[in-house]
Amino acid sequence: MNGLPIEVPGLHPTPATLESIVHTYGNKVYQVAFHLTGSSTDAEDVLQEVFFKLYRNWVYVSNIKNLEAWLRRVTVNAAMDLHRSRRCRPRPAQGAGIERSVPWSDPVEQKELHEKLEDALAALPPRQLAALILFDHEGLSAREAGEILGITDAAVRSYVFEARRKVKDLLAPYLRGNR
Amino acid sequence: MTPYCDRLRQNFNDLYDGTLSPLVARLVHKHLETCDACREEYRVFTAAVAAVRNRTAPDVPPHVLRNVVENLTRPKGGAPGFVPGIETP
Repeated sequence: MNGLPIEVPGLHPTPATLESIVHTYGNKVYQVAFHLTGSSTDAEDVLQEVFFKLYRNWVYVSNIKNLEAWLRRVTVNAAMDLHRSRRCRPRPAQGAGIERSVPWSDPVEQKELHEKLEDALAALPPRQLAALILFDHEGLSAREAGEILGITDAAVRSYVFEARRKVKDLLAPYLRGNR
Repeated sequence: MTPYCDRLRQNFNDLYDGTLSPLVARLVHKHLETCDACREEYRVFTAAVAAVRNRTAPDVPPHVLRNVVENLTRPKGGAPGFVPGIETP
C-alpha cells in the first residue's frame, strides 16, 4: 500500500472549489453556529464539522440546487447536537452583543440586558432555541425553519412562541424600566 | 388585569407576526389603545423579540477559514484526499 494520495475526480471538491465555498459561506455558517451555541470555540467546531460533511458528501452536495440551505441545515443539526451534549451552555465569547435598536441611555443597562438575554437563550431547549434563531433572527418562514428542523410549521410556531415567552419573562424586569 | 386582558395577550405573537385576521387585529389594537397594562406588556414583548432579532455575532476569524481549507485539502496519511490501496500511475 503506497502512501500517496489520489484525488478521485468528482468524489471530493478540488482545493480551489472548496476554498471558494468556504470563503463564500464560512462566515454565515460560523455566525449561525455562534447564535446556536453561544461560544466561539463551539462555533469553530461546528464550522469544521459542516465543511467536513460537505467534503465527505461532495458527490451528493455538488448536485443540489440550494447549497446555502443545505449548509444551514447541517449547521443547525451540528450545533443542536453540540448543545445537547453540554450540561451548561457556555457564555458567549467577546464580540456578541445587541445592536442599539432601542435608545438605551446607560451602557451598564445595555450590558445587563445582553447578559440576561444570553442567560435566557442558554436555558432554552435545543429545538426551541433553533426555532427561535431560525425564525426571529435568520428571518426564515415557519415552513423553511420546519424543513431544516424536520418538523411542521405549526410546531415551529409553537416552539417560537414558547421561546419568546421565556425570553420575555426573563428580560421583563430589565425592559420595564426603559422607555 | 382582567380575564379579557389575559385572553387578548394570547394574541401578541400573532399580532407581532402579522398573522391575525383583520377583525381580531383591530380588536387587539383597540384594546391596546385603552389598556395601559396590556400596552406595556406588548411593549415589553416586542422589545424582547427585538433583542433576539438584533443579537449580533462576531465575524469568523480569517485564520479559522484557512485552517478549515487546509485541514481538508492537505494530504497527510489518512487525510480525506487519501485513497489507500490504489497505486499511482
